[in-house]
Amino acid sequence: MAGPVSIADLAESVSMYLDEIAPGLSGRQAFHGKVARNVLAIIAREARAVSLAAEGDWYAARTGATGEAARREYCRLIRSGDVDPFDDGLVARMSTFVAARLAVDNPGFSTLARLQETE
Amino acid sequence: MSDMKSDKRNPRLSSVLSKAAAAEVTVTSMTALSGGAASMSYLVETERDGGPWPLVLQVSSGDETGDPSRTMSRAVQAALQQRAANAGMRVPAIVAVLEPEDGLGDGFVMEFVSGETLAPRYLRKPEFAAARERLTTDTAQALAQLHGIARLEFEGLGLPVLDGPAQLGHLRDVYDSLGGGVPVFEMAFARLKDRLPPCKAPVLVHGDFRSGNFIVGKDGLRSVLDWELAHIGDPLLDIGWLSTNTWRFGNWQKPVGGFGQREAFYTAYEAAGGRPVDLRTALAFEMLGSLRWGVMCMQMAAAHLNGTAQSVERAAIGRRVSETEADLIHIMKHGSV
Repeated sequence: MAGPVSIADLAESVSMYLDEIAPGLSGRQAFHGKVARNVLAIIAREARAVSLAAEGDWYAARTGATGEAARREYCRLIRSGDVDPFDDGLVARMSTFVAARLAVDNPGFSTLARLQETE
Repeated sequence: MSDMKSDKRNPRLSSVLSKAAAAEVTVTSMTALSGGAASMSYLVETERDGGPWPLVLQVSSGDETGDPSRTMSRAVQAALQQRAANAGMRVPAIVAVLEPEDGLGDGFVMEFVSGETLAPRYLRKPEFAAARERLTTDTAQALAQLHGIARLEFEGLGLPVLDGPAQLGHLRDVYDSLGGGVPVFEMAFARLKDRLPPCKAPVLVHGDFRSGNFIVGKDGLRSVLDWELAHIGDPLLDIGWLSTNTWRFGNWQKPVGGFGQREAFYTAYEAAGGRPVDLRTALAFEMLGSLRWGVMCMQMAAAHLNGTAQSVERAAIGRRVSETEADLIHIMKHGSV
């Protein structure tokens, strides 16, 4: 055996199964079948992504909270003006975070390459 | 799912259509075209005095909880479509508006317009090359016609009045009601605050003028559909929304709908009677467009998460939020995307 079966491997195995039954589907079922394959691809990419934790850690370091609460608290700081929404450094930081998530959600989306070109 | 129901509905719809057309109309089949949480479309094949007369039925699915912003009655939609047609805009002609006593739900019937509605096809396939050439002028003219409709024509329809600042405020409310929590959106809200001017002379705005709601033939734009988000507001909302990166379907080098350039579009729009377009404000409305689509994605994902309308499609759309964040970041870095 090559090693334990990972979450990504499991997602891809279900995707292969969907490929198998796809020819028998039509209409809404066929469309949702395609969307389901995309969803499984997102799961596989997210499971293999190494850089996603950085964003959460960054909010945590700036708010003293953790997880979801840290991100919300950071949103509140932008809204109240305590964090400057026009700051170039903040834009650059967010660009890195968004690029890491977009590489999981939809790596073919054109703006991803355009953001990385200008980094 | 439509077949069993349609058997019952066919005779009722036949009589509605016969009355409306003052002719002998028989419904022969009904096929579901597409369905959202709030509305369903059916292709209705009919025979009118012995010849084929294809129609489209649009009805409320009875479930209005999926998207609270889409609650316009089908009668108002039909009335809007009629006014747009009167102004010379290409829209499907309204054949009949359903009445409660018809027992068919809240809906209307319009003429079927043939053509392509899937943007990736008409934006890429070689057989639509000539159509793509025409789309910049066609969409510019359509918007100029729509935005030129006199206020008296649509004042009594009870449409919401939302100019740029009001749109931003409305979006903020929706975003907050969904729990918020997207730092890039917070930055966009803050940056847009002073960039959307109040509209002194608001016009009739389509509200969802973009690929996906167009029927395109080899000869160009044939019809504009889906009037559910129509309101009274800033004409630049329609222009900015059409140019939002999401609706370019990957053709980002052609900012207007994935088929045209901004300058050419503005020129055609002004030549057709539209008000002069200020580039900086138009770009602010493009930015609003990315934010608006991002919030709509959150809204659709929320409908899955809270159980009002569950589907793998709605769950997946929640992961499109990062696309709009990337577009907003690009705009913040470079002024446009």
